[in-house]
Amino acid sequence: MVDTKGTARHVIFRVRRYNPDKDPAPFYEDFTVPVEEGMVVLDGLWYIKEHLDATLAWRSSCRMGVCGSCGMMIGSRPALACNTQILDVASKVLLVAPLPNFGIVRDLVPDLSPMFDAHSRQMPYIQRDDMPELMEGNDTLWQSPEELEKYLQFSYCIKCGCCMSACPVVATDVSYPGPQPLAQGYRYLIDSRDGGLERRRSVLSGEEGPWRCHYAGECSSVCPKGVDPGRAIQLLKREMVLDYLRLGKLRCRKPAPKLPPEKRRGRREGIPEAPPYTVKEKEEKVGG
Amino acid sequence: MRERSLWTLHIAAGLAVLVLLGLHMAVMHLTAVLGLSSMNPAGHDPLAWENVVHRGQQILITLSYLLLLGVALYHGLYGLRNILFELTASAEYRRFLSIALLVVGVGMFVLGSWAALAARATALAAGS
Repeated sequence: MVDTKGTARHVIFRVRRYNPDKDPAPFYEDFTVPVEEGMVVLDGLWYIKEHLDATLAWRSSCRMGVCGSCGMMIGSRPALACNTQILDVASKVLLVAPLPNFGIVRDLVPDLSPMFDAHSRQMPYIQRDDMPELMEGNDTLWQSPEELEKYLQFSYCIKCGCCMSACPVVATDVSYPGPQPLAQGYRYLIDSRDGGLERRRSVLSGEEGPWRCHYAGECSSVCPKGVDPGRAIQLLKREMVLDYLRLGKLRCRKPAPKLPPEKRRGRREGIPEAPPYTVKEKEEKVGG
Repeated sequence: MRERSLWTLHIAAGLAVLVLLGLHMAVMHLTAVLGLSSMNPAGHDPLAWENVVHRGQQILITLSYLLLLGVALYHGLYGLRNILFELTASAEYRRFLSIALLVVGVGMFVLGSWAALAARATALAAGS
C-alpha cells in the first residue's frame, strides 16, 4: 500500500464541515490531497488549508503529540492528527470529523469546555493544610519512587478529549464526568503529597463520581499517550468503597512530610547551575 | 455521598446473590454429589412432596430465600436504574424513577415474601 519511492499518491480527505453561523447542519466535503510516506493527518489538513480551502478550521499547536489540541475523529477512531500517519489509516478515502460527544465550535474544532469544567470540579491539584507555608518557602516534599509509580502514568494525560469521545457513557449520560476528569481525580487522590481526601470525598461519592462507568475500556484503548483511564476509574471506585467501609488506607494517611534540610541532596557533580532569570521580578516590572 | 453507598450495596448484593444462589443450587440439584441428604431426607428428588415439606419447615431455608429475594431485587433494580438514568439527565425524571423502582422493588419483595412464608406455613401444617 505504501509507496516506498516517496512519490505522491492521492487520498480523498472526507472532512466534516460545520459553521454554526451559516450551515443548518454539518455536512461532508471531499478534498483530494497528495500524500507521501511520512505525512500525518495534520499535514493533510494544512495542505487543504494552504491550497484548497482556507476556511477549514481545526485546532493544533505542538505537532508532536504533547499539547493535545488536535484530537479528532480519524477514520473510525478518535486520535491525534499530528501523530496519525495517513497511509496507516487510509489508502483511498479518509474520514475526518470533530470529536464526538462534544459540541462543535466550527468544522473540526470541538467544544471541550464540559470536559474542562468536570476536570476542575475534581480539584486536580495538590491540597494540603500547610499549602500556604509551602508556597512561601523553598521546601521539598518527600516521595519515594514507589509512591510516584502509583500515579505517574495518569499524569501523562494531555487532555486531548479522545477518551471522552470514545466513552459510551459520556455519549448517553451528560451528568457523567467522563474518563479524563475521573482519572485525574484519582491521580491526585493517590498522590502521597496530597491530603485532600476530605475535600474530594463529597465530589467523588456523589453523581460526579465514577459510579456510572460500565468499564467498556474504550477510553484506555484510544488514549494516544498510553494512559489507562479505565483502570484509574476502577481503582478510584475501590478507594472510595474502602473509604466508605472505613478500611481505606487513604483515610489515615498523612500527606508526605517536608524533607528536612539535612537530608536534601546537593547538586550532583557535573550538573551545571541554572542560568540566571531572564524575566524580571514582579516588583521590578511594576517599578520599571 | 448517596451514590457511593448505593453502588457499594449493589456490589455487596451481587456477591450475596452468588453465595445464596450457590446454596440454592446445591440444595436443589447437588444433594447426591455434596452429600446434603439432611436437606432432602426422602431421596434425591428435591421436588418430592416430603422433601419440599421438610425444607419448608427449616427456618434457615426460608430466611435464605427471603434474603436471596431481597438482594437479587436490589441488585437487578439498581442495574436497571443505571440503564434508565442514561436516557436523560433531568433531576425530576431521576427522582421519579428512583421512587418508582423503590416502590416496584418493595412490592415485589412483599409479594415474594408472602409466597415464601405461605409455603412455610403449608409445610408446618403438613408436618404437624
